[in-house]
Amino acid sequence: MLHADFVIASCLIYVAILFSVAFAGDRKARRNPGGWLSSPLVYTLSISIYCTSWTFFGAVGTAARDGFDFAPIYLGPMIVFTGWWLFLRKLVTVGRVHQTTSIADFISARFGKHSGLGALITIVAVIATAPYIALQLKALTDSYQVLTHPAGAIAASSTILEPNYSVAFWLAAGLCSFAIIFGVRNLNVNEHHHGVIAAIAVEAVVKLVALLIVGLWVVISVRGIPAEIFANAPVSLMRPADTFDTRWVTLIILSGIAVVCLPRQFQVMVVENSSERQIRTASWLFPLYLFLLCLFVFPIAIAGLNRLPAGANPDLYVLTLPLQEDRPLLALLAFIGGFSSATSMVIVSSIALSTMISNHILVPLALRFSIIPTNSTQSVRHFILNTRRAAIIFIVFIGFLYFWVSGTSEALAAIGLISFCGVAQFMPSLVGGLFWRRASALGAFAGMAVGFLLWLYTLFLPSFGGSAIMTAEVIAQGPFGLEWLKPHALFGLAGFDPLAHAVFWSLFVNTALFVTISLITEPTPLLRLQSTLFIDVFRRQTESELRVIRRTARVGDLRQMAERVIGPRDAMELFSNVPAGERAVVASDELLGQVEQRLASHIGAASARSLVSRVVTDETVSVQELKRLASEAEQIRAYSEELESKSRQIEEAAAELASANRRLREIDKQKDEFLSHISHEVRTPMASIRSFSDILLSEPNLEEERKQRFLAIIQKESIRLTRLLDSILHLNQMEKGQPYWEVALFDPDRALDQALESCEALAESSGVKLRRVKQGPPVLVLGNSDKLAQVFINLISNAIKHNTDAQPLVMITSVSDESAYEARIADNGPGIAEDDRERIFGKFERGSNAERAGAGLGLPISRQIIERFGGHLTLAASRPKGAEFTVRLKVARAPSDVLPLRRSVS
Amino acid sequence: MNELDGRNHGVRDAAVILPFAIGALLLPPLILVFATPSLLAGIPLIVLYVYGVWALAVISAFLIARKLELRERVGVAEDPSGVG
Amino acid sequence: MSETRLLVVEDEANIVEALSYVLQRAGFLVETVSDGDAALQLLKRERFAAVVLDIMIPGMNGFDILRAVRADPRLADLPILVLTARGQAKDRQMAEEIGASAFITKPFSNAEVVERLRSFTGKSQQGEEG
Repeated sequence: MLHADFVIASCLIYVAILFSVAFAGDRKARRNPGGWLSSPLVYTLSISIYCTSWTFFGAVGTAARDGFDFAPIYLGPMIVFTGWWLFLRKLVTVGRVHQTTSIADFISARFGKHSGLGALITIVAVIATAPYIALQLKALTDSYQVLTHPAGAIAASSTILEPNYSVAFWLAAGLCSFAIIFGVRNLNVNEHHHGVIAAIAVEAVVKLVALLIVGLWVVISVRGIPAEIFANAPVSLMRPADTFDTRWVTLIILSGIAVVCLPRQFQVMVVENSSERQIRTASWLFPLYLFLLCLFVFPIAIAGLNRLPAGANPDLYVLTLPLQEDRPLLALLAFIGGFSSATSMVIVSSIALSTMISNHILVPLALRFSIIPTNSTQSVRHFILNTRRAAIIFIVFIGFLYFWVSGTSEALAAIGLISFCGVAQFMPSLVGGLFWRRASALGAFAGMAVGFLLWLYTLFLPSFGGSAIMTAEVIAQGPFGLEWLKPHALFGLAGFDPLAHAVFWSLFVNTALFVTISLITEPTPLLRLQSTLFIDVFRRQTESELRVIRRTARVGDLRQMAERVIGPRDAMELFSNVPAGERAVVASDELLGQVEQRLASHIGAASARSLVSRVVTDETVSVQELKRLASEAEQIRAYSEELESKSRQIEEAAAELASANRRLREIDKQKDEFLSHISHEVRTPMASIRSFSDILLSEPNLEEERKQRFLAIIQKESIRLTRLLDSILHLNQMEKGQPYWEVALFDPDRALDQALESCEALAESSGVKLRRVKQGPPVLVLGNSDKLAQVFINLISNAIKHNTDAQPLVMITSVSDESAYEARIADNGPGIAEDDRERIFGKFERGSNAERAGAGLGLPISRQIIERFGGHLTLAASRPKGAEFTVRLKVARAPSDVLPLRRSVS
Repeated sequence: MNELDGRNHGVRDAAVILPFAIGALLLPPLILVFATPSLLAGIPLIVLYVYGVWALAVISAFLIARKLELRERVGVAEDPSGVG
Repeated sequence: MSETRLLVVEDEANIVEALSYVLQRAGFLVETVSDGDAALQLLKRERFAAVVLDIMIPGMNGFDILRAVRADPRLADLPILVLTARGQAKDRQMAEEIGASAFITKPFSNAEVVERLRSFTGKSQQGEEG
């Protein structure tokens, strides 16, 4: 054993060192807030208050009993920190930008500075944390008693000791004074508790070093041989498959949530954060810290199982192993390590909770019932500072009380995880608040409240192991014998680990209510504004950019109010931009925002809001800005959709352009061909004319007969030229849609017969037989008889000219009924190649194998004419021999069809 | 510039994937593969596995944090809002 | 002296008539053919002092005939006057590339055609002048 005086003296020296570190830290911070105080290393070390005495002593204990069951408590946070980019970065940035004072402030600010939400979170946090503080007091007392037990440590750790409450009391008192001295010096939380953080960092190093030294000593004592270290390992380590069940998963998730939601973690990680650099380093340094802390857990646990008597308490192996081997100084080091982890937890927890209690319960109550003295500028500050001091004493006292009442019961052992599950109720609102725009205050409140009640019912109350609040009978059979209300098998969900069961129900119902109610409630303007500020933290930095809510207040009132909370000096600085003579003038919206933000960093966003509201004389909500705010996300989505559709349109336009280009090139080529053809068609008759006129000119004595013949040819070719030019103009005009002929009712058969007559001479000279067939009654069509005859002449003469058959024959058939008239001109010539079937209707196309007389304008002109009559000129489907063209016209039946048309042309 | 952007995306993606990868390695069913009573150099396989994954997570997080820091130093001027 | 035989390949009857008249008056013996395939067969079978060749004719066109003629070693030196209504520069270029001896576009001057054919055949001016 160690002498009590020696142990106490050591502790006092250690505490004195902590005090001086804290003092030095505070002094340095006043002169230069940067430097090592805000280094990522100190920041990371402060986060290690996650590892309390429960870790320091309990990890080895759990490992000795259940093998790997100790690990998930550290693996969860490890995963959360390595994934800092996803969640912690945003959380920490929002906290920093909005000068958050606590997790209650954070969530209430996000949900429209909802004061009820802040109060609820504070209550849950206090209820979940007080027993946790009690656990630390118990660990401290136990370790002290074991260390100083007159009968020796082993005997002490094997028996159940009556806790020495006076030790616990003095410890609690000491922790209170530390927390009050260094934690409540200033109202402005954003100035950071540099002294406390410095001391916490030292404690973090001490507990790590202590555990590492004990671990190394154990390993060295078996010469570092793995086989010897792991000889006689806990049974569960040799049958590991049983460990990785629902409880394992639950613990990883739960501890990952807790490392964010525990008020003390939120305090050191978010509130005390001053740069992204800190969290970035912590993302790997904190997992490394946890890794080192857990490195020797198994060796120590196995050594304890091997070397200490069976009854020894595994939770104290870290302490009793050195004592057993007669290493009192090592034991003292281990004790100091445990002392460090317990004290740092209590100090930071009490500071974090006191801020919450003061800002979210006491100040709002005082504001509501006008308790805050308003006569002097300093009194409000003092009032708030005093409430914080009182709150610290209250919290630690509650912890002490809890320890005293629960005494030696097993209730404390499991309180760590129970506490985790309690604060985990903040998680849905926290995550939803950072990533989901629709998340509403009512949803957050309802989810959290019901989750909290479920936690109380399924986990917290049963943890008392059958007390007056919840009897053993209720736990076993449900209240009033209602099976489905059994706390450990709610709604019949039996067969689960009680912790997994409670985590599931509380978080499931919490999240479900949060989501459902958020979806059906309409957010207030302030909530919408706050949600945008939080969710878009990486895009916007200040509220002043968004003028959703416009308020007016008299500068004088505002200044007076600010002075009371933040003190005259800070207020003067804050109002330094306002000209002195304008105290009564209306404060700008921007100034109001600044003042509120500054107040918020002292007393939380919700209280600051309500305080500022007292001097605000007019408040208007800009509906337009609100709409903009609300629809911003949709706007971005709509914009990107628009971009997508634009780019689709552009693609389509590009494709259209490409095809138009292709068509243009084709048309250009056609134009070239057209001109080439025109040239050819003009040059050929010109050649005859020129040649014969040359002859006539150079031979004046040409015999008369010859002269006459040559002159006739010249005349004929001139007429041919004229016709050609006419038809070019004709086609051009028709393409422009200018009908220039008279329209009348006529019998198409007459036009056909007329055409036949005209072609008889040609047929005869070419030796082609013409056959005419008529079917159906005579009908009338609307159009121009001469034009139709021209079309027929063209078709028939083509059929004659292109017919190379030995017995050439052209069949001319007309068929009519009451609706349509059809004329078919078929030959038994070579026919038209498949490739040419459409081309022949193009200008100057005569089929590839038919380079013969005719300008090549006949078919296109014919088609134009027929289409102008409302009919069709088509080439019949491929035939074995010859070609067949069909002219199809609509029959004008009733006089009523005809008359108006006739009138229109006359 | 473009190359830098590409690398940044890679680092960001890695930063996003890392926690899920580590989580998958430490949760059933994957962890059950190593939950056998076998020993490796006298140490239970599962102990080596869990601590190994843990060390891997620390190293990966360290590398990612360092790359993101480099990126921040290089990229601050060109991308003031780009953290999101 | 033997008569100089010319072949006129042309499908436009009026032009054939005009050319025949003019060339006969110039002292040439003129054969005419209006079809490409027939023209080539005739050229392979019989000897002509020169050829007047239209491009746009039924059957083989003028260019094809020209190519076939130049590919035949016996006919490689045969003077060929291309006489065409296709007046574009690319047609002239094409004709010269594949071995036309001369290229005249329609409408043409009778004198020019006669002049060219005389220079090809070495036939001095004779017969009646008009």
